[in-house]
Amino acid sequence: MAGEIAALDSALERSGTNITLRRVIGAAPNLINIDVDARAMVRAASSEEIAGGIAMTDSIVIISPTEIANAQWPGGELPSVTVVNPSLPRANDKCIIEGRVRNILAPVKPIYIGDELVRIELRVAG
Amino acid sequence: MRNPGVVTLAALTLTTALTASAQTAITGKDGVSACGVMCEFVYGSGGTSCKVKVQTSLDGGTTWFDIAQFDFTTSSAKKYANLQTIAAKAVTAYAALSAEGVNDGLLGPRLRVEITSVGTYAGSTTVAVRAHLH
Repeated sequence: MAGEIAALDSALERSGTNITLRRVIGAAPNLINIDVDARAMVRAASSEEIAGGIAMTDSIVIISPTEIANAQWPGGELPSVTVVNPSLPRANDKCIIEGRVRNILAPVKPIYIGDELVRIELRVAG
Repeated sequence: MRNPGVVTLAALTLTTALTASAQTAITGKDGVSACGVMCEFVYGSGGTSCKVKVQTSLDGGTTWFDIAQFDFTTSSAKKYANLQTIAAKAVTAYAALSAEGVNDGLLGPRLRVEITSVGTYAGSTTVAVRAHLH
């Protein structure tokens, strides 16, 4: 599956944009931001997606697992019996696009080929 | 080493007491030769003391050795330490850390944080441990 990831990485490098994924720990004012920079394809929701209930102001963000894996984001944490994969972005994580902090909405769509994560699709609030 | 840079070893909100609570490990850092660690404790309320140990493993995570310890009580603080394996070091008997300090010269490809806290912290008391590995 390395080929699929490499192809996506290459496409994102050519045509993507820089974003930052952020997990926030704690409650204001004591917040800890855990960031990882990534390349992403960011697009508006299609008419079909809007018809399906996605807000017009939402964006669809496609990222590769490469940067997350390289940074081992979000790092060490208490082992969980409920979170399948803590390195997958999840609802209420943040996505910083062109300097604007946007909220990641459920559901996050990880795409696997076999057992390997090859692509992650996110929906972020406008 | 592969993927040098900053990693988050731990980031959590402290609440009920923790006893040697090991966080998941950062792995695959073969060839690491130096490590700058910053430990930031932001106090909210409650609690008594918090001990943050940075540990390393050279056997795939079976055995963990203390390499740095940061101690906190009831006030916010930022503490740091630098560890490295470049300079020659005389043979030294390993001793687990029982007080704030370091066991320098020992860095394996796996790193983790182990936290022990006494009392119930509240008010969004947080601990963050970040390491710059290279």
